[in-house]
Amino acid sequence: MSTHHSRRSFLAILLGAGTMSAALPSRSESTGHSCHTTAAGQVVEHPEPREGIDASLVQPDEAIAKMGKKTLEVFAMVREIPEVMDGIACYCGCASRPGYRSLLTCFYEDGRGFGCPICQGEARLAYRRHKEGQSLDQIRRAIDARFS
Amino acid sequence: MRFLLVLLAVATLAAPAAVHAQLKASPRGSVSQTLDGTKIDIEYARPALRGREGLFGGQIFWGHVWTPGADEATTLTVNKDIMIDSTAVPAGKYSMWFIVQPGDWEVVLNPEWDLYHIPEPERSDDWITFMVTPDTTAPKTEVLTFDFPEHEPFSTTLRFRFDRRQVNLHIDVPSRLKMDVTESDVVPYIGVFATEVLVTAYSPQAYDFDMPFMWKDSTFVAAMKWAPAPEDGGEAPGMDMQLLPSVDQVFFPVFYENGEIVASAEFFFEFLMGDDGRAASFELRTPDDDLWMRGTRKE
Repeated sequence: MSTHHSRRSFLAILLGAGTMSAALPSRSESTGHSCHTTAAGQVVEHPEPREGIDASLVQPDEAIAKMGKKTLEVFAMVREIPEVMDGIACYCGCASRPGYRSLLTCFYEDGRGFGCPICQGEARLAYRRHKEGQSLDQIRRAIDARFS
Repeated sequence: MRFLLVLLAVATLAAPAAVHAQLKASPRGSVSQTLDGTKIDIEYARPALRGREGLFGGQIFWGHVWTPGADEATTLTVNKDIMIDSTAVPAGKYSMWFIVQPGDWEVVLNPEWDLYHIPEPERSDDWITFMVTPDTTAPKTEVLTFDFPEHEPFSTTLRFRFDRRQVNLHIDVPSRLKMDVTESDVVPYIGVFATEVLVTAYSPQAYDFDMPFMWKDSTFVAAMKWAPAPEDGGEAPGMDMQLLPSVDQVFFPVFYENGEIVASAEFFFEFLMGDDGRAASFELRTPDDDLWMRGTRKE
């Protein structure tokens, strides 16, 4: 079997990418979605991380135990790098909620991070890019490109 | 006895509420779809057939200006101008109506949206109207349903189904892509980058090549090689990708066939700037944010 693409197969794979993008949070919503989006296409200003910020206010696993393994994973990521999460804006509309400051606060007690695909998608992307060694500015640009 | 009287009183008080609950036969529902920054929302009531036959042409009589739902009129809300079946629909909120007939139906979008299903609205110059041909051979749908069964980067289908009628509305949305890139916008990125292709779903084997980024025919172009050069020394197969600006230092690759964009917006070229103000390196990321290619400036 050939491991090389033809132009046609190459384009076909790219065109099929629309279905693969489901792995990242989609903006398609159905009834009951609890998360509101910002006006799409608008880049928001990212906050500066607070000095000495920690993850002590991030919901503990016991509080979100029923939310499923993937949600628990995201919360663990957030707890690991609060100083990064605190320097990122959330694009889901959390910003208009009381208590919001950054993506980090989406994962506090009154945040939407437990069930919002935008909050969780941003956190996953930030964590992954941070682990790859990217700077906060690079992570912010990647988030702006995908979630604005 | 006293207990029985209390029970009777409770049952009497509860009865109207129960009847009222039964009359609420068309619960509200909603569906929405966002494409490239354009959000389309449908809010509607969802009546069920409940054993009724021949609803269209019967209870929903021919010529009826009917909201596809029940109770409060079905609404369509869009945050940007769109095209529905080639008819311009400005951003806004509309009540939606079908003027049902044995043949083609007229679709009505009425800027007066806060309406009840009766009385029928009076025809107005403000209405946006167009004709559709309903599918009368569709499988029976028990509960009136709107959905978006398919979508492309800049278009989707809004589908209505009830009883044995189905209507597909083709919706085109404006592209968020900035097409008007200038040479001065992209000068920092022009050059040749030693490019490493990693194994992903998009490339079954790893290979290297030099990728030029250039200003060509008034567009910003990257010369992609989609496979390694053949072992006999021939040239690697490739094609030009046009890059359109996203946010700062990030570009979307797009492909054109017959003047139409055929793939875009889910891949990202992300450049990292050097101390000289020019791009020193780049990454190409897939829709899953996997690293597909990375390059370092050579020239």
